Amino acid sequence: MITDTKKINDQIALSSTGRAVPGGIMTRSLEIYYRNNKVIKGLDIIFPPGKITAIIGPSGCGKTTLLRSLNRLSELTNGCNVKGQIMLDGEDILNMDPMLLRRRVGMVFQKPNPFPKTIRENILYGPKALKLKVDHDMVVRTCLEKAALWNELKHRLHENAFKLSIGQQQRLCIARTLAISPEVILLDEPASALDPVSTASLETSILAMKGEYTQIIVTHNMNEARKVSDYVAFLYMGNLVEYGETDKVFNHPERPETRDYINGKFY
Amino acid sequence: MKKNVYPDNINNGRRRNKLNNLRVAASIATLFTAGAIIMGGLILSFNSLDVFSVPLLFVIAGLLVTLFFFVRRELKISQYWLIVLALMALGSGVLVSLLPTYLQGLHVHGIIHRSFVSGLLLLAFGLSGVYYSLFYRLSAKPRAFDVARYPIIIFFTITALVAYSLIVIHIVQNGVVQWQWSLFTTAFQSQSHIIETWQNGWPTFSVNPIYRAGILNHIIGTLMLMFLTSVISLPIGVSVGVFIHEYAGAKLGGIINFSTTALRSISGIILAVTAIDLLAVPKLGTLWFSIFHGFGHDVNGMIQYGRSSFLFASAFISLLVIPVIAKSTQEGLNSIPVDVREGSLAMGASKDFTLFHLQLPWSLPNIITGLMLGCAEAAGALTIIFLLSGVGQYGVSPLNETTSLAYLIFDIKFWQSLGDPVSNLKNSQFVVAFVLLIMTVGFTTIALILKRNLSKRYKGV
Repeated sequence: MITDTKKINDQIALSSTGRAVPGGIMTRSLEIYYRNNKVIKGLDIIFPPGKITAIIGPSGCGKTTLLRSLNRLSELTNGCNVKGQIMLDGEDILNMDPMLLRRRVGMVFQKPNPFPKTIRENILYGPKALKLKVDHDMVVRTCLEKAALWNELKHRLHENAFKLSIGQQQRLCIARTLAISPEVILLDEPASALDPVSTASLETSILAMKGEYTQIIVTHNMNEARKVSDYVAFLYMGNLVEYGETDKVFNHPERPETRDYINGKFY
Repeated sequence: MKKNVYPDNINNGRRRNKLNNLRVAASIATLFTAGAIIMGGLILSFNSLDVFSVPLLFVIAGLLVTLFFFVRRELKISQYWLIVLALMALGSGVLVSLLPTYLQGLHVHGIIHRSFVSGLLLLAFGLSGVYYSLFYRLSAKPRAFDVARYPIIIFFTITALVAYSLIVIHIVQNGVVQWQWSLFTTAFQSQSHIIETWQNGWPTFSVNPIYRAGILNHIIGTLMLMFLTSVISLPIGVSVGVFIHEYAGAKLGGIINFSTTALRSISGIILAVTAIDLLAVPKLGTLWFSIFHGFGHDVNGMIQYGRSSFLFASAFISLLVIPVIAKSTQEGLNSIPVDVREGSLAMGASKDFTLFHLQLPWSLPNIITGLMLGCAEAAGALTIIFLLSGVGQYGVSPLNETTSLAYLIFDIKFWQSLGDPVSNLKNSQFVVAFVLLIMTVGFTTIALILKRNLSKRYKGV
């Protein structure tokens, strides 16, 4: 059902020749089960490196499940079973060490989940956990700058992260993920708990990271998907219905389901 | 026409006047019933006040009947409970007046004054009467339902508070009277120094009794027990909690959880019986005998064995403390949001790193609470201490005989019953109780402050 595979493959070739951005993800006949329930039904999709791909679809269509399987976080859920292949730069992640994988594929959750520590400790948590030999001050500064938080927080680095506003907390979670310099960042409805102003600044952060990281964002917000993403995948009942460039999917959808969903007329 | 539920709102002068009659009656009834509660308490303490009980019961009965008629006239409700209550008060008054001054016979092996019955009856009718009269004093509004219950709740609360404060006042008062600074600088000693002298080529032995009254070794002993118990039970308890939460499945975790909870409710005396049997197992002179019983040198340089060593006693106390710490660790680990834990794992952190840098710091306040409860038990709440302790006069190291303030209180009472002529300690059990009280309150305060600071530091709240 992939409609635009050729173009995307061209894109991958372009990025590999132009700027070497790692972190392309490709799945082959991916099936995910919760006990006997098939949630993802044979998915073939390519997330091109350095681009932002949005996954849209109604609730319960398997978006979050797909996202959580990309860094093998789904293994923590009892009864979740992944079959098929997920390739990260040509390596099958199901054969990789999960900790090494998660170091390359970071994740931002639906609800802001800062660690109960200071802002600085939150950023340095990853480097400490992975025993990375880095300049701590430098890491804190660059990560916060990339997440567009440095100017707001540079005098509050030793405050508890829980004291931040909910939008700042979410951007701190992004900054925290950047500290381990991943290749891919998975964003699971990052703006669902935020007000419009925070959402706008979050989108700024996401757009600022474009080109450097592969970003895969699950969202219910059509405007957000339209604004930030390069590619859009529409998932329904565990199947990929439509996949292509954002402009094309939103302006000239090929499938009637996609058109209905985008226009809010879905069932 | 719709009936007005709250007649208070009616702006009719005549009606408001009548309503005031009900209010006056209810006020008088409130006063008398409240007086009945106080009088009931006094009668239970002073038998001679018993003469007031019968008239007071009759007055309450009369007031309740009056209240019934006023309520009926003003609010158009027949509150028959008031009549029932009044009849019961009347019957009780008659019953009390028929009772002889002292109750004997009827398989009562003892003498009970009539005031016991009348006092309890006054309390009962006073409390229920206050409820009704206050309810109508507040013009039977919905809020009156709540307010009318306050006196009953407050009565029981005050009873509990008075009981606690009386105990504390008693201990502090007597402790201050019996206070001797020398008790705190002296370790208890009651030994006989055997002096060998040579006369005409023959050895002669004379005995020089050494007696020193003091509680220094008992204070240090209590601290030692607390410390050793914490050192033994903290790592084990935390490990058990982590294992149940992180590694054991639902089934195994449930089984361990159930058994630790069951173990928690075992009385100390059951463990003590086992402990005493275990103490009898090793033979005198073996390593285990020394470790179990504890030993020290007396003034003559002889080795003396005790009842049980600090190490042994605290190991047994730990058996009761471990379940508490395991449970509180588990609660702490449960309270951390799943998102935060997954957030750590999603950064590529190992389970181990997550446990030590995220989950355990988060659970620290809970663990501290568990430890605090455990230490309070070690300090004196346990029967096990009485059976395993001695006077501990040969030193306070982990391998010396167990001793503690809790045991000393018991021991002083024991000496008193024997009429021990030597002991200076015999009049100082309240000093010991006072010290134990200060220690317990102190430890609780420290633990609470620690808990608050840790919460602020690791949870941000």
